[in-house]
Amino acid sequence: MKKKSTVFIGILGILLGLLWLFPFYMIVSNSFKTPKGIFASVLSLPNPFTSANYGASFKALHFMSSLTNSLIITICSVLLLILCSSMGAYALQRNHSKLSGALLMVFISAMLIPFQSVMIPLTANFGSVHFLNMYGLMFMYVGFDCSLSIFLYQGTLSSIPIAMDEAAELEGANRWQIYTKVILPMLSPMTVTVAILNIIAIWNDYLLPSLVLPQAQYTIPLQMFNFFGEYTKQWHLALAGITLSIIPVILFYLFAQKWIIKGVTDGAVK
Amino acid sequence: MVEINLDHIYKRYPDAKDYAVTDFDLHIKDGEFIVFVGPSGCGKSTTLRMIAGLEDITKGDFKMDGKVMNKVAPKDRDIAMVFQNYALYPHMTVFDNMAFGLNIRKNDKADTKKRVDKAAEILGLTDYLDRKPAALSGGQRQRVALGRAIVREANLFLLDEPLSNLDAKLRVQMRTEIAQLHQRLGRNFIYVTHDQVEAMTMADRIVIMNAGKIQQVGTPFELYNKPTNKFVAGFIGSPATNFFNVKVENGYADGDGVHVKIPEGQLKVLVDKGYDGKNLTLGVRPEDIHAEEVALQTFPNATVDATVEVSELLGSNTMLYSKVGDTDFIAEVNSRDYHEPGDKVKMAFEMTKAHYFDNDTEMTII
Repeated sequence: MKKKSTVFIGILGILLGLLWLFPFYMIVSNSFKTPKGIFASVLSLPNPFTSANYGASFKALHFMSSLTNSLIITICSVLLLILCSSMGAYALQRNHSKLSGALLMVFISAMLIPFQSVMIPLTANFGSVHFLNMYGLMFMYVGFDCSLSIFLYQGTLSSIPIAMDEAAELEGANRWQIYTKVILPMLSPMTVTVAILNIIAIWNDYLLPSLVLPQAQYTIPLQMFNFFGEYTKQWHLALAGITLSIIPVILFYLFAQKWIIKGVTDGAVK
Repeated sequence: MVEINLDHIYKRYPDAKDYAVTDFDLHIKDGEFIVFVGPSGCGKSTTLRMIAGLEDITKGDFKMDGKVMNKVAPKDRDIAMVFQNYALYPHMTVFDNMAFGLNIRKNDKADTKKRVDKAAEILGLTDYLDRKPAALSGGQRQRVALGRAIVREANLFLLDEPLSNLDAKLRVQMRTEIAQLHQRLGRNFIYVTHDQVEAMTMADRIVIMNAGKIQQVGTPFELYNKPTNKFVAGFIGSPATNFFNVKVENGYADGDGVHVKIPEGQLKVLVDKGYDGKNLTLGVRPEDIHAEEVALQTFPNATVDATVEVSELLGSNTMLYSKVGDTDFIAEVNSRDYHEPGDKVKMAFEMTKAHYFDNDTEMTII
């Protein structure tokens, strides 16, 4: 009986895995087809096989420049976000005043505000101070995403005993040293989670950059829009571009995976 | 080397009505091993944390070598502390954990290595310096926490229930190791525990606390033999002292099913203090209650007819959980005098070792 249910769960798992992989297969396989090949059969393997789409897409996307813009915006935003939200959560969690409790509630409540409801006044305000560029965009990302990140960090911090801070304090560490040398390393599993969530969201974001960035600072998703005209849709180039654009995220995920260590606090206490 | 004074220390937490620690007054001599002991919530850890600087002192002065330290930051007090839950940094190796304080203070690297190696050798951690805390056993983690304190070469070591997370066997072993460490280092140790066996075996002097107040300060011998009040008599000794509510009448302690003769010397003191004909509490330790024939013959006027309810054979001794009248008491007898539950047993109180407490103040009369 137990064996049967294990087999059933295994089959279900494989089917779900295939379902998840299917869009990825569609993107990669069609990126190696000619336009005619794509319209002949979307599901078949590439025949004839061509890698020319990648060269053309690379050129049309101004890939190096848009990749650089995407990388700068994503990396800087995520680093700022990690720094600000972990410090904010640390202060809020370790300070047991009524004000810190109220502030935490404000941060959590802010998660409920839909971005679309504030995007027009936000861009108007940033425009009035000439801040509609990649730096303004980073600032916005930190503001929008720190609510969730603070909430996540706060949960993890509550499981780190205050004795860790006190031990470091008695050893001679100041507040900044306690944060950087003791607390932040212990938050690393949550930092990886926060980083993954935000890197994927910021890397793929289209709407906010489209409102904020000047053309010279376009990211990959914005450049990708060039493949979709009013009358033509260059799917073969777009899919090659998408494949190119997801490579850095996949590389990051593979790199970060080894840092996702369960129970990193094992041995800290007891 | 440092003399420590806690001058009438009080602690009240914000929003709390009562003081958590009241009038804590203690002088600690250089190199002493002091143990704070008491039930949970009695204020012993709070006092330790005030000494460490982790809690503010509401009233009173904490002095080290005559210098008031109330406002001195914890890092500048020359104090090392071992926490109940060890508080080891999980992302650092044993070496880095032990060297953390010295590295923070930018100590010379070669000197740091020398000090960590020496501490590791004392604690038997030399082979584990490259490991992370997660790869260590409970006892080894405890040693790392001690090592972290040792390398600092601080004048005062504070230990907050450091053995409470270890199993019974390891606790006995570590108890000896900590006592040896104190002798080797010759520094002041203040040790907090709720385990009276730890307190009795390790301390030069014990501070017994209850409800935020010091009940008695003394050597283990003094606390066991000369308790100042009923609480101390009940707290020190395992199992706890038996108490009987009795009346002093015609040279006998009478009540709670007990009718035993009070020795001459004790009776004179009780009469002199005006307790003749009055109620008081008689305290008899379980080990001072005997069931063997020779004791019954030696103390013929101090016997009770008890009923054994539960027997616990512990090896050489047996605990007889018994009842006389409506009062429960425990007798620790030689296992040769083992009795089954339900047995009616005549037992003798060794009254020369008994204690008497005032019913109102609970202070010791004799």
